[in-house]
This record gives sequence, structure tokens and C-alpha cells, in this order.
Amino acid sequence: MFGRKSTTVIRALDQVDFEIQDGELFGLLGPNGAGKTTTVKILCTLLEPTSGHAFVKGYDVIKDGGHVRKIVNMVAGGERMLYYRLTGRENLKYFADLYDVPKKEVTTRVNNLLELMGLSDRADDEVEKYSKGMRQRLQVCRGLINDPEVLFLDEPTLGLDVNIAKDLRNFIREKVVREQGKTVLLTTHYMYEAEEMCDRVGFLSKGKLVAVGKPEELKRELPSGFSIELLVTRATEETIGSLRQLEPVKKVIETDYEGEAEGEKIDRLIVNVDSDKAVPQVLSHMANKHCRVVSFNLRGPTLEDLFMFYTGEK
Amino acid sequence: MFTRVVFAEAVKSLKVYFFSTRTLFWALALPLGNGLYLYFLYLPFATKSVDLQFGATTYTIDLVGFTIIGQLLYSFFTMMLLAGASFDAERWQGTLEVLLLSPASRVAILLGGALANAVNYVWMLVALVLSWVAFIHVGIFVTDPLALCGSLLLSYSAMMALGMCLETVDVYSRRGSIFTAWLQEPVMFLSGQIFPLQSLPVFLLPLSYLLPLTFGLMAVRLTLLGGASIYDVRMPLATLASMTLIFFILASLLVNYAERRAKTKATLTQF
Amino acid sequence: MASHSIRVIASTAKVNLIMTWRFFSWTGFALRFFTPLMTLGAAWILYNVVYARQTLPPGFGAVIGSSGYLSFITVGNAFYVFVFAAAFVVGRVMFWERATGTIEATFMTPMSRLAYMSGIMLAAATNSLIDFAAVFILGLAFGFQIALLNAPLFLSSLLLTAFGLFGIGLITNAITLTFRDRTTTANSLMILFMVFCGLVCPVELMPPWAQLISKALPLTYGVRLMRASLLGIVTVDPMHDIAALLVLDAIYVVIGAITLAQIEKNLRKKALFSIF
Repeated sequence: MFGRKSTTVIRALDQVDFEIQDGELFGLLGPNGAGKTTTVKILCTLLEPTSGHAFVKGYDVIKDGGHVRKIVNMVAGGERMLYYRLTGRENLKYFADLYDVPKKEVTTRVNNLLELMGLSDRADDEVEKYSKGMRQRLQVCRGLINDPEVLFLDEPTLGLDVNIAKDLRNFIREKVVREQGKTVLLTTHYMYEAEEMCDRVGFLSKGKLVAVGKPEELKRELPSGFSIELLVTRATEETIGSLRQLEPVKKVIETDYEGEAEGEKIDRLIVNVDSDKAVPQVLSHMANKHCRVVSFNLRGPTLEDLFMFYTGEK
Repeated sequence: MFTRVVFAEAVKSLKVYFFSTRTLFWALALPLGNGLYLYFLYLPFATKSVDLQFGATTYTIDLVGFTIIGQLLYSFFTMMLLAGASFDAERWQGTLEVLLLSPASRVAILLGGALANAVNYVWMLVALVLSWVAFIHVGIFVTDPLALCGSLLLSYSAMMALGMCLETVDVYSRRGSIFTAWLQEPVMFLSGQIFPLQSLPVFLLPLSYLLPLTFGLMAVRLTLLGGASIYDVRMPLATLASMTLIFFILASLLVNYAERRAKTKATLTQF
Repeated sequence: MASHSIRVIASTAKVNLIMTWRFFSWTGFALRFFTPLMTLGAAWILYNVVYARQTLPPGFGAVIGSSGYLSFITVGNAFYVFVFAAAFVVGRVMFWERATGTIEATFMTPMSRLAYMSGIMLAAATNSLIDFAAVFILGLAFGFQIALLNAPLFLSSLLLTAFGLFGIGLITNAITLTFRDRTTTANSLMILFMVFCGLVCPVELMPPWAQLISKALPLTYGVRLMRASLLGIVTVDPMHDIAALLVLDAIYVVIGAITLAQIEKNLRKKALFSIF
């Protein structure tokens, strides 16, 4: 109770160095704990880096923090960052005041945002009565209330219904970025989300930025151009080891999979091969090892493959 | 399972809420601060003693001792209210649902939290000793140590059982902490903590007699400062023992009711 | 910049009043009101029942003059309600914002932090004004009598004390946030003011060590000025008390503003915005 606790230093970000262009939708990907939220919070002045510099629109986030706060905003996943005892409208009006939105524009802007997010009918109910999806949509309204030049989206679709999440992604991509020309930094660990939305992506792993670029360019850097997704049963370590030794196979990645076939556990393997002609060889190898191939799918590299390639994580 | 839950909850409450430097500071500062307040309230009257009427006997009690005992027991009562506030803290931390999701006996959870207050009670006794040292002229007059121990223990048990009842309000509603905070001043006023109970208007006395603090103050002041024996204080001791039982049973009934109502009205996650 | 600050003050005060009345409404009002009510009741019983209106000791009589004991107590306790505003509202605002998850959204904005805290104090003081009036009304039932009314002195004591309490509230806010303390600091502050500011006993009658502590508290001077303006009790030259109050206010507000800036910097450096 009275003694000092020992502290362990955890390096949340390590020599992270990247640029985002004006009007770009940049995706920052990585597993939990990679440093995505830390990066976002530094850029919107909620955190101070221990060393190094960060700039938003040319302004230093530390020295010019006041100016940065005028031109950015952040939407985070989860249900916080709203006053539960205020109504949706009251929340937005309050933040409009805090951001010094011109008074004559406040009412119009609040109404437009509420309508855009389908919250007009519930605008005058307290936020504590909203569903999770409604709160998240109100958060997006709050994130746009000051018409920011730069918008940070920290896992904005976390916990949302599939259709709502899809609508939100469309809105951000088409309306916010393409139409309004805002710069957006999106963090997510849903690879399909980044694939669908982002102009460029960066991969964070344990605080380090391991790759940055356009998804298509990064995919070309994969050691092989194709992936065979195999769902198999009875795959032993020996079987997988011998699969790795096959000539056309560049890499075999075991991933988590929940499922059974006729009472036997299914394993999911991603097999990187240099050519689609390797498929028969891979399948016959598995058959020779008495594995049952439940299904296979040949595809070009995805961001998920990139992610696993760069981070080495499942 | 019951004792396991009691122990687990007590340990958790100690680690999370009570066994911290600031809670221990508060357990010391509260009785000393309030004691000084009472002392200053009496100061303009330039008096050094207070007459306590108990039955046919009038005990003349040292003023400083009167206020310190009053503060000691009242501060413990306040700590019991804070035990209820731990449910309030669970509420805004979002852990109340998780707690009530478990099959653990709710009474065991209440009891564990209340027992954790034992730490504060011990610490408050330390505050008492320090106050005694600070005011070296306090006239302690103990003729029956057993009576004194019984008074302290039964005061503790009765207030603990009442505290368990009050905790159930925090389960039911987010306004529970307001309700328990409401009680502080009326209890201070009605229990004879500030002035002798016989000075209270007669129509308020029935309310006073509902409070364990009233009988606790009676018993401890008389046995510590008035030289009363266990026979002299048999009535307040018997009342405290009965109150312990009654409030414990009431808490057991109320907690289940409060939980059902909270779940019906979906108030477990409101804060 | 100034217009934005005024806007932040007004807007923050408004939403906090909305949230307080929407959630607490009359229950919160009663909560703040009980302490002065209890003190008045206890004082009445001590004076009228326990000591049966015996003549007060000469020392005390000289201090309070002819206004009477209960008027003396009423004025002291009326002012006490503002301590709640400082200690529990301003003193815990950032703690509570962090606990409810709104601190990041709020502190990401370009608002002046001092303006924001001023808005919080304005809302709390507005609520306290209601309690303030209620204590006086209740005091009438207990025997409170206004001996005279020096309006300029009354208003200036109110404003200056509130300002000093605001500074103390800022400092308390830094403490509660740093130590993640929900009520201990605020409660300790309430007790400190309750005991040492001469609410129930003239400061002049207290032991020397207690008088020393009372000198550092703005409420001590505020209560004395208020008694001078309503009851004609003048134990110290009011101009002296006003000067002392101005100096204390400046000290507390400046320290409070510095701690506010420092605490925010600390939150950023140590990533504590989201840890509560």
C-alpha cells in the first residue's frame, strides 16, 4: 500500500515515420496493441510523444496544439465521448460552441448532420436512450460538427451492425473524402474495411511501422502472387512441414478456424504459391498425406495476407 | 460458496476502495474534522461538560469526549454509506451488470463489502486515540470494560447491517447514492450526536429510536465517559443486537427485490 | 478569442445546468441544503434548549453584537453553500468527465480551459444561489433578523468569495484528477471550511493555531464581510478584509490556472485521458 510500484516501460510507438497527403484516405492497420490509437491521439493532441515531431497541415501538434485542435476532429469506436444526459441535439450544439462554429451556421449544420445520420427523429432524446448504433452515428456527427480539414477515425465501425457499418464506410469514402475533400486517417483491424476504403495503408506492428503504400503496390511485394486458402482435416505438423518443402510453395500460414467436418476439427491454411499452376500439386500432396480437403479457394493476395506477412501474426 | 463470496468481495473492496492511502486519510480526517466542528459549535457557550439524561440518571460527560465519541461513531456510519457507494462506483465503471451476472449470493456480496469496513473501524479507533492525545484533559471513566467492548462491537454490527440495507438502494437506482447522502445530516441531527438526545423535540424522538447510531452513541458514551456498567446499558445493547438481526434480514429481502426491479426497468447500466 | 471564451463559459454553464436539473432536479437541491439546515437546527437547540437562552459569555457577546446568536449562525451557513460548488463541482469536474468518457472529446477542442472551468463554476454557483436564498428564508424561521443592509458590501463579499472559491476549486480539480479521488479531497475541503471559517463560532474565539488556518481561507473574510453587511457585526475593518480577499483570490486563481494547464499537460504526457 505505501511502497512504490516498479514500472515497466512499454514502447507504444517506435520510430514511426509517415506522411499523408491532402484529400487522402489513409488506413493505419495493425493488431490490438500495435499503436494505432496512440498514433491518432498524438495527432489530435490528446497525447504528447516522448520524442520526435508530428505535424498536421504543417502545424506542430505540441507547439501549435491550439491551432491543430481547430482543424481536426476524431471519432472513436465505442460509446464514450458523448454526454449521456444531454440530447443528441444538445450534444452537437455544445460541441459547436466549443469549436466556435459561426453562430448563424450552428442550427443548420446540426440539423443537416442529424438528417445525414438518420437521427432527426431522435434528436431530442437523451443519448442514454440511444442504441449503440445511434450513439456511434451521433459520434460521427460530433466528429464533423466543426467541418474539420482532417478527420481521425479510430475504429469507427466497432460493434456496429453490418449494414450500418457499410453505410458509414460509404459515407466516409464518398461524401467526406471524395466530395468534401477532407483528409482522413482511419485505423482499423478489419482488413476488408481498409481494402474497401483506403487510398494508401500503413501496417503497424508492436509500435513499428513495417510497411506503407498503396494496397496494390504492397501486394506486389508479397513473395508470391497467389494464395490458396485450404480448409482441411487431419493435418499434422509433419504434413504442414512437408507442404512447406514443396517447390512452388513460398509460405504456409496456419490461421484460427472454428469448425468441424464429420466430427473432425478443420484447420485453415493459407498457402502462398508463385503460380496458379501449383494448385494440383498442393492438393495431391494433401491427399497423399491422408488429409481431407474440405474446401479450397484460389485468390490473389489480400490485405489480410499482407498483414500476416508483415506482422507475422494471425 | 457463501463464505467464499464474502471473503472475495471483502478482499476486492479493500483493494479497490478501502485499502488506499486516501481512504485511510479520510478515515482519520473525518472524525477529527467533524469533532473540531462540534467543539467550535459549543465553544461560544464556554462550557466544558454536557449532561446526558438516561432513564432516571443524569450523567455529566466531558464535552470533548462527548464530541469525539459522537464523531467516531458518526464517521463510521458515514463509512457504511460509502460502502453503498461502492455499488455506485460499480455502476459507472460498468461492472455492476457483471457482478449481478454471477450466481454469487447477493447477501454475501453485501456482507463482504460491509466487512471490509472493519478496516476503517479499526483505523477510526486509532483516530480516537490520537484525539485523546491531542485533548489530554478528556475525562475517561470506565468501570466495566466488557460493557465498553460490547457497546463498540454491537454498534459496529448494527450499523453494518443498516449499511447493507442502504447498499440495496444503489443496486436499484443510480440515485441511490443521493438517497444515502441525504441521510447524513438528518442522522447527525436525530441521533444525539451533536447535542444530548433529551434536547430533541419530543415528536422527533421516534425517528431517533429507529437509528442504530442513537443507541450506539448512548451505550459508548455512557460506558466510556460515564462509568456505566453492562447492566446500566442493557437496553441500548439489546436494541443494537435486535437491530443487527432485523436489518440483516431486511437487507437480504431488499437486495433481491432491488435487483429484480432494476432488471425490469433496465437501470443497471445507467449512471 | 474573448468572444469564444465568453461563448464557452455560457455554453458550458448552460449544459451543466441542464444536466444537473435533468438528473438531480429537486433531489440535488435538497442534498446541498441539508448541511446548513442541520447546523441551524442544532444551533437553535443548543441555544434555546440545552443552554436555555442563558446569557452568552461576554467574550462572545462582544464579538457578535446585538444581532443575536442565530443570525450569526444563519449568515455563516448561507455562505457555506458556495463551498459545495467549488469543492464538489469545480473540484471534481475533470475527474467526472474522465470517468464518463467525455474528457477526450471536450479537451480535443480549441476552447479555453479556464473559460470551460469558469462555465462550470457559473453553473454551480447559480445552483448555490438558490440554496443561499433558501438558507436565509429558513433562517427567518429560526430567528434570523437583518439588522441593516449594506448592499455594495453584501454584493462585493459574495462575488469576491465566489472568485476565491473558484481558484480553490481549480486546485482541488487537479488533486482529484491526479490521485483519481472521487470524494475524499472534496469532502476534506468542505470540512476545512466548515471548521475554520467562523461559520458557527467567531474566529476571534478560536485557538491561535485555528485562527492561523482561517486566515488562508477566502470564506473567512467573506463570512465576516457578509455579517458586517447584514448584521452590523464589525470586528475587523471591512476594507482590510476586502483587501485580504483580493490578495487571496489572486493567489488561488493564479495557482489554480497554473495547475489546470499543468494537469492537462500531464494527462497528455502520461496518456491518462482515458484511465480513470
